[in-house]
Amino acid sequence: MTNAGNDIEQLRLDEPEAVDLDELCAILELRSEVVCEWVEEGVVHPVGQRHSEWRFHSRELQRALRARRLQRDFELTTESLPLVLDLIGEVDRLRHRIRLLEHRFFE
Amino acid sequence: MEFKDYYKVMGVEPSADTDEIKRAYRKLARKYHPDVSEEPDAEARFKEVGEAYEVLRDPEKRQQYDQLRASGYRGGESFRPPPDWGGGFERSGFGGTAGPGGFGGAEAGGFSDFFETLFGGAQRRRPRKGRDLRTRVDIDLETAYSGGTRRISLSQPQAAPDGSMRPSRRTLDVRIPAGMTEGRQIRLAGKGEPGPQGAPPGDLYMEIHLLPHRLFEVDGRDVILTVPIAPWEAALGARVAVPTLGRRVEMNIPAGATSGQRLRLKGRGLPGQPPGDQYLLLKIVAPVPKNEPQRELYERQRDTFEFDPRADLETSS
Repeated sequence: MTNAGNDIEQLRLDEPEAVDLDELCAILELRSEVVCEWVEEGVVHPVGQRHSEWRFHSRELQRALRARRLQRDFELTTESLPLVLDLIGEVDRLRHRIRLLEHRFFE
Repeated sequence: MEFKDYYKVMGVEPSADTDEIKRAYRKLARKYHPDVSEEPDAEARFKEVGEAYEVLRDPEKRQQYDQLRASGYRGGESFRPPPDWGGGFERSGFGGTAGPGGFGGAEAGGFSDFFETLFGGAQRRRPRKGRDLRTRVDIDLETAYSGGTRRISLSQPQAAPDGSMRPSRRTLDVRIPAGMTEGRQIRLAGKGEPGPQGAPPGDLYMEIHLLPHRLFEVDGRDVILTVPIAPWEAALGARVAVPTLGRRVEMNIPAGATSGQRLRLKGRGLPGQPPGDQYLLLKIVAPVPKNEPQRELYERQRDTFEFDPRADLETSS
């Protein structure tokens, strides 16, 4: 929605609905077979049993986008992606903890 | 427009073979990839490296680039493409599109004008969706808790009447719902750059970052508040009023509390399913005696307590 008076767009960041398999494939520009393989290998974790029921919530979309970048930029194998993603996540969490502790003890 | 020395960016000699270029790229990518790097200019450097690699790994693009370089251009020099640029070559490649949700959005710069001028033809021939945009939204903790509105400004190229691309500003008032956490990424489908030649627009990715708060630290949905208490409150217990994100609450400090002890206020953190908790981190603060009676009180404590706070530091030697 655009406020015509001053050309300021109004946007709401409401929790976006989870995306389905087709939408995720379109976002990632990947074939569905590749995303299904990602799910099998634990790269991303949908909610739902059958492919047609799969929904990927925003955190999984974020993880999938990161996986896509890492695979593209480092040519990582699908098998290595979950480990790399988990380790990067752990590094992020530890960095955040370090910042908290530094802030608490040194500032 | 500036001529870019892609060999210098990659740190390789112009005679480097494809394997050397690939090795150099991997090394630089590990250093600057925004998903793993903490370097302050990682994103910009990674783009630069990605652009250089895009050209040097592709024999056709590299040949065209080398041809220009051979005519005497050097990095940083002013550059205008020759009028016959591109003649005799079949342009290929992805022409500077950003990776999906990646770091190539116009907000982050995309590929340079230099690249687009030399190799952007392929993309123009093959319309696809507009570029995704990616931006950071800094919010304070109160907004994360209660929701609110933030105004942000995006820079994105826009087609001028003559067909050239010009930078333009786009202002957004973003309504942020309660319960946002650090690093959360929100995708707004179709709010990215308009698609070329009627193609669908790209998406807008907003990444939420929480600004440091004067009182609270944040860990996921949990918030941590350091609560100073007097030695007698720690020893005897006390009922104290503490701020939470919503309102002040009263709580009991148990007798015999210690510095560093954590007390939990369930569900007083950031909203969500489930909501976070608030932790109180106790910190015993001893007042400095300011007069004789206060000094005497400390002396009486020293004489009354048989207390060695450093007993654990004793060693056998």
